[in-house]
Order: sequence, then C-alpha cells, then structure tokens
Amino acid sequence: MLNSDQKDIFREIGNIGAGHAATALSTLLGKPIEIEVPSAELESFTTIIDRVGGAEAYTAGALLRFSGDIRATLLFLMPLHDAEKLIGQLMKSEFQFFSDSHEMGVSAWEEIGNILIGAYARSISDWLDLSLQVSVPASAFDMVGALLEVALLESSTPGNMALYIDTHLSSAGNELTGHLLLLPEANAFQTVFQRLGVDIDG
Amino acid sequence: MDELIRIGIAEYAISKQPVILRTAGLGSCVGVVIYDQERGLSSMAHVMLPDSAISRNREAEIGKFADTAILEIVKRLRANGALRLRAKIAGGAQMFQFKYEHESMRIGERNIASVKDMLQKTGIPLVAEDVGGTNGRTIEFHSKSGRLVIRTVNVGTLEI
Repeated sequence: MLNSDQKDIFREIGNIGAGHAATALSTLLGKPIEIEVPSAELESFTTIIDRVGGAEAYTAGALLRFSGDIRATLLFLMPLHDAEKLIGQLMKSEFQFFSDSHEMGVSAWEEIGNILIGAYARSISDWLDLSLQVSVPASAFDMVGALLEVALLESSTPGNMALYIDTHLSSAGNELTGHLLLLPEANAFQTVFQRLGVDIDG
Repeated sequence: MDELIRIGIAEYAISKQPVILRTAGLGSCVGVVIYDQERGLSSMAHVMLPDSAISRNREAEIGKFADTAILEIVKRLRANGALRLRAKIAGGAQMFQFKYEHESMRIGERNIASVKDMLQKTGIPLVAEDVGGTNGRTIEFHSKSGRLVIRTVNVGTLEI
C-alpha cells in the first residue's frame, strides 16, 4: 500500500493527467468536459475487479504500452454504457456497440483512449522525468475480468497490484465513470517509486 | 441445488461432492475441468500461463500455470480413487488485437497448447473444448451431469 505522501504524489499525477485529458477531450467533443480524480492508489486486482463491478461487468477497454525509460501498460476501462454515451457525444448521434456503426464507434473509442491515456502518460513522464514512447491503442469490449487478464500477464508485481486512478467525467449532463490502470513491468515499479523519491523497501 | 464453488484467477478446486464449479471472466486464461463422473470427482482450474519455469515461488503458484495445476489436480484426483478421468477446456482468447505485436504475445494460444500437452502427458482424454477466438468466457461445470456451460457477453451461451 502507498503511504499518505506517496498517495498525494500519485493523486497529483492523476489530477494533472486529468487536466490535460479534459482539455484535449473538450476540444475533440467541441464542448466542455470535466474530469475529476476521486482516488489514486496502489490496489490489488481483486479490489480493482470489485470496483469496476465484478469480473463479468460489460466493459470497454483501451490499452497502450509505454516503452523508453520504463516499460508499462496503461489500461483505461469504462462501463460499456458510459463508453457508448461518450462515443455518442463524439459522433453526435446515439451509439451502440455491435450495431451498424460499430466500427466507427471503435475508432472513436480508440481515439478517446489515445487522448486520455496519452494525457496521463504525459503527466507521468513529466513528474517522473522519464522519457516514454507510447504505442498505438488497442481496444476490446467484453467482461472486465477477461480484459484485465492482459494486464495481469504484464505485471509480475507482488500480489498482482496496479496503480489505479479512479476518474469521473462529466459532460453535457452525463456523469461517466472511468478507471485507469498503470501496470509497470517487473523492474519498472522500482524505477517509478525511486523517481517519486520513495524507498519501497523502507 | 448443488453447492457452488467460485474459482478465482490462478486458483483451482477439487470436489468429491456433487457441485457446480464456476469461474468468471476468462480471457487469455484457460479453464480446465478434469472429472471422473462415475466416481463423483470433479475439479476446475483457472490457469493463467503455460509454463511454471518462470515462477519464483512455485509452491504458492501451483494454480497459476498449466503444467503445475494439471499435475497437482490429477495427482489428487487419483489419490481419491479416480479411475476414468476426462477433461473439458474453455478459454484462451485474445482480448486485445494488437497491430504490431510479437508472436510470443499470443498467450491464449500458448496456454491452450500447454494445457493440451499436459493432458496428453497425463493420459487424460479431452472430450470437449471451446477455445481461442476473441471473446471472454464465464464457465460453469455441473459435476452430476458433466455439462460445461459457457457464457459470453457478445456471442451468447454454449454448452459442451
């Protein structure tokens, strides 16, 4: 678990990322969007699965990989109906996955994921002074347990933990929930905490 | 109604009673059911990775790997008198489609291959499977009937 200093730093990274993301998304959607970060914490996968509604919760996922100074995976998750609302705003019409406009919606979702995750990535790399390259996004729409497995494979951290940023998006009267997971590869966890000025063994 | 046992990621369970074994949200992981219906023995594992060679703590991670999970389960079922073991498997999907991904990232396929290899080595016939694809699965094994029910959110329910 993070101590209160670590939590503050991590939450600040989340807030700054959210600020970047809100600006970029507002531009994309052509209307103001606010993003808040109610919590940022190091969490176990079991807790994260509970927070996103259980292993079978129908969820939209977007995933990017970092390379450079550290290797890590960033996964953004949103309940499917929330994702449909957000995509609907972008496409300026009602949207549902697996309808005729599915492919267009998937592109829109990947673009949203790219912007959101990219914004957080920039905040992380600024705060931690890390040089990071970000991959193109991949997306999936399925049970959240199945989506999270991809992340489990990447991280060999003790107890299967991830840095977890809770996000609330509000736009045009819609309140949307998102979950951002940062999953550093084995050695990257150490680098992240060293850059945070935290002795993880102490 | 028979008792319902839930199996989490990298866990397994064995039962000598009539039971429903369930694991939710299989992605690239594989659900392995090994059972002796005549003798009322059943098991389910939710294996994550193909090979325990990478494990730093093999004792604590038996259920995580296809090789260690299957060996342990078969040993325990046989110790309980199993004579005619059979297997059903489901899972091993690829959830995210990466555009520039290395072949070795196809963990679902490697999990399936390893599970099948271990079943062959332990002499257990694979009587039914629903593997691969791009969909997550929740599976439920009914030990009395030997039915394995597979639920997906995108392509409905299947029984094998």
